[in-house]
Amino acid sequence: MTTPSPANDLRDFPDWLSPALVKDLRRGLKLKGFSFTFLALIIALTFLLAATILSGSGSATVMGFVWIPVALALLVVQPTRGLSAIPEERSLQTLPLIQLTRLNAFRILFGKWSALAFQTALLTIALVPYMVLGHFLGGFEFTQNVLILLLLTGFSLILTAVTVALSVIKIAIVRTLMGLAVVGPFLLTLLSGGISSIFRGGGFGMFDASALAGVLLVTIILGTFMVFYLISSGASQIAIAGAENHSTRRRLIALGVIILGGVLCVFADNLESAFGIADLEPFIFIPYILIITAVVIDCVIDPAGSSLRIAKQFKGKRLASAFLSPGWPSGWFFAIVALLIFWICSGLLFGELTGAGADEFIAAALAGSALVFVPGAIALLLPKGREAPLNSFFLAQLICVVAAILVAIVGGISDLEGMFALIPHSNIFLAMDNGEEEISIFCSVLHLLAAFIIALTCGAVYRSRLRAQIAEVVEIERNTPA
Amino acid sequence: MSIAIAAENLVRTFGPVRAVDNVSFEIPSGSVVGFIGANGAGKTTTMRVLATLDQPDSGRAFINGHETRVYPDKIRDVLGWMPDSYGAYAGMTVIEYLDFFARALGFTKADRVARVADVMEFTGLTSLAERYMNKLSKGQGQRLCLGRALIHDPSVMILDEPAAGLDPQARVELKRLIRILSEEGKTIFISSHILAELGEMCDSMLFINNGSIIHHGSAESLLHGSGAAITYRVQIIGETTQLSQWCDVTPGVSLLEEIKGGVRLGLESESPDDIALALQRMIGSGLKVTEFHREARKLEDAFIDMLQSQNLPPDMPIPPIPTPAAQP
Repeated sequence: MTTPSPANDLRDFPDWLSPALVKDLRRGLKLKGFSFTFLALIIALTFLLAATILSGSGSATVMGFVWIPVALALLVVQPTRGLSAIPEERSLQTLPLIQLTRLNAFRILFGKWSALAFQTALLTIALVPYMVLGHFLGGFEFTQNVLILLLLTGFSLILTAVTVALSVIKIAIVRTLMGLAVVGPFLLTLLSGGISSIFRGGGFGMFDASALAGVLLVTIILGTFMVFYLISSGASQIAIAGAENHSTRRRLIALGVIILGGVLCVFADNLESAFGIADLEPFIFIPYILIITAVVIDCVIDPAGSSLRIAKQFKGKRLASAFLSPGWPSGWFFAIVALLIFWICSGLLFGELTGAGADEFIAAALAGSALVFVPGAIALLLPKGREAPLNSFFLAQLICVVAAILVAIVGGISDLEGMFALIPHSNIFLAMDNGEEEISIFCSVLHLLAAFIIALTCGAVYRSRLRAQIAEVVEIERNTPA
Repeated sequence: MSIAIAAENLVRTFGPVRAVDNVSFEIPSGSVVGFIGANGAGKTTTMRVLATLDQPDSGRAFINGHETRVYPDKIRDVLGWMPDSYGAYAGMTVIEYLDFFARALGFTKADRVARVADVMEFTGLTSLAERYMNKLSKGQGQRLCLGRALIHDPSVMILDEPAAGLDPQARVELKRLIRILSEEGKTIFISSHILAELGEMCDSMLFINNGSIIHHGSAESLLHGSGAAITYRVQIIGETTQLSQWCDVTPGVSLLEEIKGGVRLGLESESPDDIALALQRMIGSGLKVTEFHREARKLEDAFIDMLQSQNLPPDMPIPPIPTPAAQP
């Protein structure tokens, strides 16, 4: 009798699942990170529900406490795990081995995200029985609570996409700080008891089921785009230099979404009256500003570098290569186009939401843009910042934030017009200060002009390299017999 | 014979450092070629460019006729890459690791199961299938790494220092596996700093120093081609310093190394008369010689002699590569 090969046990996951997902799921479910979170959450919820039912206390108050461990697991623990997605592969030196398979960078990162998303979904599903129990034994509002749970899950998946994308940052301290910036606010709110009060009285507690369903719908639509966009952006960062092009598709989709967002902004009033929805503007404007921010940041950190393979895609497409070829040299141009559409379409909505005039909108728009473009330009002047500006960009952001804080400490919060001119991160406060729009606009224009001159100058070499590669492709094709 | 691997004036710089400096060579299909150089000489960078993991600043590289910059996907289908270390994932078994790469390479259903089983059998890992990767010894890990590189049965294999850090037994086992792969007709490009080991298994060897190829040929051509002195091992009764001093003043003789009870010395002439004369002079000068014998020249010595004696200009023509059939 022959011993069956252990390879026969390899049918636990179907072939159609992404290999990266299978790999990370097999490991993720075995490792302590998920098991600990899962068990801790179950124990905490069991304890809280038992206490509620036994004490007979009011459902709204108790539900506020129930959400604390849930929010901690979904909004802090799971997204934080995303930060180690790529550093682990880098430290093990396994990334090149995977890149030599048929998995491209997008599929690698998407596998990382989906493994965590699958685990988050398992956590969410495990919580539903507690909602049912709470409804029958504790008098909790079932539909509303399930919608809130789904909303938290949606936020968790978006946040996880952000952290998985951030995990490509090579400098550990920058990666950690950026991760803290993403999950930190949720952790602080939890620690200060804020989540409890949000769910008890204000915040979600104020929404009825239909409003929550609306928020959930917006979250799903925004989340789908953001997950794709962030994973694709991260993929550009880890792809072998010049070998993969994720940028063109990403920018084309972003352009479509930005135009769609613009149309929704312009026709927000008509939509409100047509569908009988009140206060639709925030649901359009807030996701729209999140999207444009992600797009502009991505455009200035997209690593430069192309190869004959990529050049081949832009043969005879001069306009496309100027705006859609991979890398920040074309990314800056694309960002300007995207911003122009955003500014034009969202101006009216901004005024309606904030009651601000045209001057205030222009000041805010220019100062807001400088928050990305100036660090983007500084990054190009830092070592290695031109080939791959990601790390340098976030370093430059940190430098600007620290400088702005120092300026505020040294000069006081008010009466700083002169010093505001130096740092865009201080200028944004000036832009929001009533009556200071003119000086803010002047400073922003200077900031942006300087930034664009730097970007144009630094990008010239990459643009000419791409042109040369396109010419080489044409030459190769001419010399290759049919 | 067709060319499996070719580099054409490859240049790769990292800031001011030219890691690969105008490197050109060709490796015929089915041959085993060693790639030798000190740490930082440019071996790994050259291999990464060939494996489509990096792009050259200028020059071209080809695998089976496909240029690496234009057709990386075609190249990855026929290329097996093995780095010097394997990353041991926590919480992952040997079989899960191989299965992941089989899935990633597009194998499905029975094919995938069969490939994993075949590779485990070839590398002797079947009994370790359920063992966690981070519990493997270095030798077992390298066998796993080789198995991963073989999953898609590539025709060209690039092995970057596969024997680094292995114990003698694991090294012998790895050599055996490489020999079998060579017999199957795979083209193998292998880097190492252990010259003797490569000398035994390679059809030819490429030497790289400071990013430039300084020699390309067989082990024999290196041993006999550098024009260095013939080495003799001499043992005497008494102080070794006497013998050292004798070497210093005697024409045609050079002191290579002092050893216990004697020296290793080099004789410029291979003529039996000159050798006999040197021994005669040694005894004549009062040295009590107990041992005088010619040493087989080590590849390491030949390599070091070559590095010392050749201050090659960067445009030195690279010798043609002997084909495997031409090898003794």
